[in-house]
Amino acid sequence: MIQALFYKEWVKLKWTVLFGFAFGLCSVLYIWSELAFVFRESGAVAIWDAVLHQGFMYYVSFRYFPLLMGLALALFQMIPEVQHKRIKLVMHLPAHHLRVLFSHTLIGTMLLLGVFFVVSALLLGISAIYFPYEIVVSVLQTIIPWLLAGWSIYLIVSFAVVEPKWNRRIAYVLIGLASVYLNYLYTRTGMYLHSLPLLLAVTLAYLPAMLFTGSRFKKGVQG
Amino acid sequence: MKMKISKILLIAVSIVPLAWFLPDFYDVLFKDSVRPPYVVYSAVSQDFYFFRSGKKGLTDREGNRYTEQQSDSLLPLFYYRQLYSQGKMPDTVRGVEIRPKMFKVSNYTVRLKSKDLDGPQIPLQPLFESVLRRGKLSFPHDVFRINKRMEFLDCASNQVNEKKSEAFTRALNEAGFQYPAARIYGNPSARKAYDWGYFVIDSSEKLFHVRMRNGLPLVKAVKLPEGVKKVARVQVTEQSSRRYYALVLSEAGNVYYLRSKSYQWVQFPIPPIDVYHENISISGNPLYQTIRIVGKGRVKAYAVTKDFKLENEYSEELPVWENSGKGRVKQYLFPFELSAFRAGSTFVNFHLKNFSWQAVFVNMLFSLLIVFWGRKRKQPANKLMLSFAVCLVAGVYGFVGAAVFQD
Repeated sequence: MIQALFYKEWVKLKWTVLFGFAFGLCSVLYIWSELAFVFRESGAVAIWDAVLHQGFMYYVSFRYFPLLMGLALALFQMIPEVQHKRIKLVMHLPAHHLRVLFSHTLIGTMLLLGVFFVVSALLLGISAIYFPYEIVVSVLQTIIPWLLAGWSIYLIVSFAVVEPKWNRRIAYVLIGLASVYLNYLYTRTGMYLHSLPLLLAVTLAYLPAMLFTGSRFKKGVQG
Repeated sequence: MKMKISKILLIAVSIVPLAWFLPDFYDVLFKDSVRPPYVVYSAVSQDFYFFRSGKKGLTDREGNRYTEQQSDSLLPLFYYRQLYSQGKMPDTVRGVEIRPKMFKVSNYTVRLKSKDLDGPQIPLQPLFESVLRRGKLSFPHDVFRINKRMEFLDCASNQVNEKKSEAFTRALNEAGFQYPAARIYGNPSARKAYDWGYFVIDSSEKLFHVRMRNGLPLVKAVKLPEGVKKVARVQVTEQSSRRYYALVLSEAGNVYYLRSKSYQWVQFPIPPIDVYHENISISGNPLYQTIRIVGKGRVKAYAVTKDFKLENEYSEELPVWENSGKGRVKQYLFPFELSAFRAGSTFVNFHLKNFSWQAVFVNMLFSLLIVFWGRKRKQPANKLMLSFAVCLVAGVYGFVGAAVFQD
């Protein structure tokens, strides 16, 4: 059952996932080429000094990639489902409808985190060519809030799309954006280190949100 | 049941950003920041004078205002440039002969902000060659870390320089260093006249002075002042007088200078400060050091002579915005707020603060409002209980959350 669902979702989402992956890959390659350029132009010492003491973030253009990816995946996954109320079919499969809905969220999350993992690993990999592990670790500490923001926006937009009423949808998205905005309040290397558990907890709290709007949909709340 | 859990989680998680944005929005609209006065000390009258925001010119303790000419003659050591350019600078101040060169040597300012005690920092530092080449400092080609040993990493190749690492590790070992380094203090910039290296706290809270001279390590274990168990902060000064290596704040809040060459401690004759909540700045001139401490709703100032005798002090309570009308209203509106920073740190550290019992009235109001609204929409009583409780605890945040995420 779950395997079949996964196949259905993969057929629907493969282009989004591949395109997102390609976009992430391009942005990392762009960061790499820029880094290689500044190393050639200014020399290693100046760049190390800039990264260590002047807060230079050579990877800052990575900031909104997770957000865009999460948004795109949520829209391409859930809009086809609510168009013509196709999701009703999903709810009448021989399994509990909440379980089926939750599986959609989990499958999307798996695909999203898969892309995040590969692209982030590439970014850390190119960092490790030029910099010691202290700097690579600081890059990881800095991008985790952005990745969590991408995951959150995926979950928020998914459950908002399934919501039948428009005014509710807008309210959900506004509150969701406010919560994601907390991940972007400050951009300085490693600043969020001590807040990562809270940001993760906030993201995880959105994980079952689909059950809330899904059951409103099932109950037939009119839009 | 599952749906109920997801609903409770959604309400809970919506409180987090609301507790940040709503109080913040209130502050943006209504908060007036209280600017502390800038306190200066007159060597002539031996008293403190003030520059206050919103008031033009210099004032004294009683609030009398002084003209520019009066200020110049009251504060010759502050306005010396102006006085020299007009040829009005007195030859002696308080019986001490003043020469223009003295300002170049003696004038300095050190500012220590409490929030800089802790913060995100990548633990790699450049160690400068302290013997100047052609009269200036040059940025080294490597950076160091002190974990299991002291290691130098070459920037261009990203590889450890074994020979240099071994030499410095040996020097640290001989000085009795306990690895790893807990904190490293220094000024990693080539824009200074000379370099006094780094002060390193080891894992047993002992202090070490690490420098490089002619490519060779120069390490010295520095005995802490009597009674100091933990150092809160070291500011390597690198002033033009070369009189002191560093300004040191102990965890208990005492302020010391470490004399250069002799490694002797001199303590400022002032009461201990709260290193987590008070900012301190020290400015020196040929005769005095003026210490200004701002924090915890108070400005304090001390005038200390060059031989570290307290000559005069001043303390003033600042108006606290929280006690003003708009500040009080805020306490009634919001039961708590989400804050991003803790005292003594520049890490983002989300936590709830400003818990206010006065908000209980507004919370009650929101609780009743959501119940009436729910009854109108014919919601069952057990579901309303949840909304009621949420509003009672989380006030306006809970109300918005519960209203948006009701069934």
